[in-house]
Amino acid sequence: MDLSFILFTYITSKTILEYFVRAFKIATFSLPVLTLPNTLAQTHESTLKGVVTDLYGTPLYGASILIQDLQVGVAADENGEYFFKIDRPGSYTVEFSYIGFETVTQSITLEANKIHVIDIALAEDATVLDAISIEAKSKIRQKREEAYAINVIKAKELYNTGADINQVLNRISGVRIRENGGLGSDFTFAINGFSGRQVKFFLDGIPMDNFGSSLSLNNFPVNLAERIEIYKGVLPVSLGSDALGGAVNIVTRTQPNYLDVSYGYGSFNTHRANLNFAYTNLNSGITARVTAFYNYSDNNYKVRVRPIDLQTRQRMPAQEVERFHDTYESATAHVELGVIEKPYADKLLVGFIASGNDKDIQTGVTMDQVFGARTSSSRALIPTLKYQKENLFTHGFNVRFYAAYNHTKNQFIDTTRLSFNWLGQSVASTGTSEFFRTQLENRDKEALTTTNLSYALTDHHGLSFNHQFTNFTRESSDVENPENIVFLFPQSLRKHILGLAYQAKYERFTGTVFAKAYFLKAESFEDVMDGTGESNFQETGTNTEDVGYGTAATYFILPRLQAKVSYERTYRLPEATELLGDGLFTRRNEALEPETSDNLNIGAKYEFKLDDNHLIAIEGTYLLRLAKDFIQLDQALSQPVDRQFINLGDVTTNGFEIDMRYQLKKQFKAGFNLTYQNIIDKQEFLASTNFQGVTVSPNLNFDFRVPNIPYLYGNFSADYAFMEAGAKNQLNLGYALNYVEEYFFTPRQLGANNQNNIPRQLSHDLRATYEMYNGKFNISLEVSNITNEELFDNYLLQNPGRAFFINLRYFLNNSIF
Amino acid sequence: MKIEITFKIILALIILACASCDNDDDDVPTPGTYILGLGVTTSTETTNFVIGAKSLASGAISLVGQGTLQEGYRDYAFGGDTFYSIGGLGVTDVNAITSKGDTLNIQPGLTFEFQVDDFKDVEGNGTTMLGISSPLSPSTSTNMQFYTVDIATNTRSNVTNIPFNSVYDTSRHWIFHTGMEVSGGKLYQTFYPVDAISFNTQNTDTLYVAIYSYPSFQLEEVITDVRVGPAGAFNTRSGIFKAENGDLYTVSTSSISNGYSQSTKPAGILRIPAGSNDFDENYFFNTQDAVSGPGGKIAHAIYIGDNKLFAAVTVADHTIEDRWSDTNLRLAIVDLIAQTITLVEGAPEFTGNGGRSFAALQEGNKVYYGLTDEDGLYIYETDIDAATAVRGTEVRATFVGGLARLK
Repeated sequence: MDLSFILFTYITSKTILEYFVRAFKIATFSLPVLTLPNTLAQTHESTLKGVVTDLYGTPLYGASILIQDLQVGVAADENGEYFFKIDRPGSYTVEFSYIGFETVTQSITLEANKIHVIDIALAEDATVLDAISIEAKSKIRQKREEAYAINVIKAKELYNTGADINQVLNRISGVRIRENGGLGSDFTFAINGFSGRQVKFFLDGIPMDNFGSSLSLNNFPVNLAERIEIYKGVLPVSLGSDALGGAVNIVTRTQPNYLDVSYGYGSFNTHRANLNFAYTNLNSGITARVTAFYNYSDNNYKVRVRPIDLQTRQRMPAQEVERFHDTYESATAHVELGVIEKPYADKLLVGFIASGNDKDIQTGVTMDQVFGARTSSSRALIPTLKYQKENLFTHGFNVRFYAAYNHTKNQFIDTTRLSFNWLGQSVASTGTSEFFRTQLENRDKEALTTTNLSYALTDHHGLSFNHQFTNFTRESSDVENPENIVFLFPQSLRKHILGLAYQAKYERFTGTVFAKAYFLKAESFEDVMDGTGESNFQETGTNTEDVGYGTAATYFILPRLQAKVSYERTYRLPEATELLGDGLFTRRNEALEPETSDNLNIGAKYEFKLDDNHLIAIEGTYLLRLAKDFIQLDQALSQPVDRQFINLGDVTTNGFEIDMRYQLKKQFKAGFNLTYQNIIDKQEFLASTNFQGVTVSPNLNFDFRVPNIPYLYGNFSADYAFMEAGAKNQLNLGYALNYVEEYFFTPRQLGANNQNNIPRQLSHDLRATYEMYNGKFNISLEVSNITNEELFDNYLLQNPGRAFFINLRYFLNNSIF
Repeated sequence: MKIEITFKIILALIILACASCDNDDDDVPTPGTYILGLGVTTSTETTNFVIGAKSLASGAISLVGQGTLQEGYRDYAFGGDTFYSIGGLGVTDVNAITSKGDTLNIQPGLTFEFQVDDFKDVEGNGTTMLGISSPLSPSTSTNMQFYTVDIATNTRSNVTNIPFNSVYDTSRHWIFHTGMEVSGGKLYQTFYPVDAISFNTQNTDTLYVAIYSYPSFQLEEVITDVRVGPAGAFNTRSGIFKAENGDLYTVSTSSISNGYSQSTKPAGILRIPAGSNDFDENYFFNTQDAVSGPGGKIAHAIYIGDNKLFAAVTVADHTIEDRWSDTNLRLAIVDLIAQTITLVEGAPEFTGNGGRSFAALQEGNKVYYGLTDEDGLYIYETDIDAATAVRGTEVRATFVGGLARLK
């Protein structure tokens, strides 16, 4: 365990934080004190604050709050929150109003030096239901009502849980996260059957595919996000990337002043801590933001295995054993400094991410293979820049520029000459390692920029342009294998992705058409054989260009009935190794085409109320995916050498997703979703290009389901809040059910009684959260997998059984100064 | 209305899902006289199955609803009425398969540390299998490992490590195992020198045979001959064969289509007389000269008795572009005494499946071998004496990795 690095990250972030807190105190307090002494005299000041929501707890962004007697008003922010400072104590009438909702007035007596809270829920005004204004909706709601097939997770509702983003995403329709084990384990993220490089991840619009394993969704606490957007099949140009099947964009918190600290402890010696902090001087616009998090777990949960006797090499009877080499530790700090709301910038932030992890490796692809000393680690240092300005130069011209320079080092170590079994026993191995002796180190450097320009031509028509540039270089070395020729030549890949979109927006209709152009330049090397038996390595490179396009439209048939259609022809560009080979065992294939897919989503969403108290929302989406030319290693040869990446695969997916929500005021919520995806192999023949021509053989899986992808799964959740009017404390109880239908690793029609399935899985989670002082102090207790079900993933890798987790969170909704 | 329809759809789906998980209790594999290890390549992966068959002469073998899945990559072997399926994902599992009444009995439990590179009944009496694990890289192990497995109990003993550098100067090259035979209480092993990283072959001028005591596996010496290059090729086990009288024959090819990056000596067969530690200076069978036209390199073979090999022989000259392709092969009968190669009529030119195993089964005067012709994968039945073949059973799979006859 490289604790020194983690400690370093902590101390650094803490020192940086302290330093800037001091600097800001000086900058923001000393000046006013010197020049405006009367600011010190405000001793009668009282505070009024609160949250404005609808009856279901949805924040009403832009709701107006007016103190009638003073004629002082403010608007609620995107969280529905508002805030007044009044220096004249007394009795006042406060008016809360919002388009489409009934206006409410309340009386209050403001006392000096006190904070008063009025949280208010407004009822919809039946007479003005038709006049719903898109502009007035919360950002989350606006996103959800976009024409794309999108799920938006409102992260705030989950802040008390201490969950990571993976855990949260796994409850979304169409999404399946397949984990190899406990905290920090490798995982595959799949959207509608697409996975791996076919799905892209963004942090505030910056692609983070190569940020290393410590900056991945299973490390991120949900507390760093304002919201998480999941795009299915069709991506807006603003996320300019070659995503074949979809993308996830994590939008970080933007609240100008807050402090959010939490620490959780649970089964398997799991610790999770995170700190989110923002300070903004609203006068000067100077802002500082810090996000830091730490994860640790022994992951020593019990698994059912047949250990191997190390003397006889015979398998012993099946038994429960504890995992013994699966510790995971990660830490990340992200600090951003800059200004907001300036004439030249709405936002200008310079930031720095430092992140790292250390991981023990317990198993191979299956649990049969057990390790006791293999480890991996990742370190990333990433400076970032964010600039954003609306109405630059002229009204309606908006600019956004994000940049990052990612410097990542990933290391993998296997140097122990021992063989282990599941009982934790070991014997000296005749081998040079547990599996393959290595101290492989990959050093990745990646420059990333995203530029987004948009211009409103008229009130109803707009254009937007997006450019994304990535320049990725990898250098590798291995002290165990210094002469390996692969390490002498770096591989690089440069991508430009341009997007142009036209949008039309009317009261009920929003539509967009877009085109994307992909340019790729790859550099590598290859062994040019000359028949002498000696290697002759030469540098090589290639360029490709492709154009994709798409459209999305949505129409409100009724104010609460929305229809959505979106389509895109997507691409996933090949990587350098896929195009140019690895110089050794993989031969170049310059003719390799990108993977393509035609993705279509047709959906509808309807919300209705049974009466004033009950809300029901139903969303259904039909999805069609026609994916072709998957890039994969030629399987036809049984040789481990001289393979090529080829375009093979023709897969048709027909499926649907259903989401239903029920809500009883703010008290009770229930949600249900189900995903069915019929992923069918439409590749009739397998063609293997050989020197004698093309060998064609029938594909025995033609017209059958593609194996090893869950095809039917769903979630159910129910939450109940025990609350009393005016009470500062609240108890919430929640239940969640996760369901995955049985599926098979290999073509199911072949063979009999195959032990190649993961049986149907049902797991139940329970959670209780107690919020005190209006959410300032929170305690949450969660029991996951309460029935201690044996859960599996991938090649029967067992996931943790019943686990407990307690999380403490302190949240301050304003400046700490 | 909407809710009702939605619920109906969900209900229908749940019923459908439940119905689909109840029909798992399919029949056990149908046994037959023959047993096959089959590989199926689909657009996503290659899976392996073991299946019984009544006949190899006619009809079709289909894996739909039949056969037993074998996890991971598989090698097959046969000895003492036991068919071995060896491999797995990460751990090398040894499944010993025997015929038991109307069913196949699969005995799992035994595992090996490393991938097995050769596994055969070298004594020919059906009691002991000899195994060798010869890792392809010093990053895996700097020792090769010999061991014996008792067929009746599926247990392992006599595990002996032989450092690679005691057999060959591994500071220059690594070596890959290509074949082994036991004769007169000695184990003879062929191998070829290779660069462990690039798999290039810079030393193709010498034939090497390592000689060990058996079954104690003490290295006696490594004998060489420069009339030919190394015996065998990448992933094949066709480097050395034993005749009934104990004479050993080494088969050298330096065949570029089987992974050599150069070829500097003629392809040919040498003899080590029974009980000897020396090559027979008077015996040299140039296989290239024995075939009219190009080729004449014996890529894969089995010994079929009476000083004959049943082989797959190249019938084209290959260049570096053809490396690893294992192609332009014809079935042939090789007479080691008469020094003749007779191409089998009736079987087409074909491409192998990269070596690893040459799944040919001899039954008396017939040899069965599965190859892919223009219609698909078929078992060809070769008459040894006549050197003619007829097409037999269709196999609905991608390749035949193992083939044997059970009692």
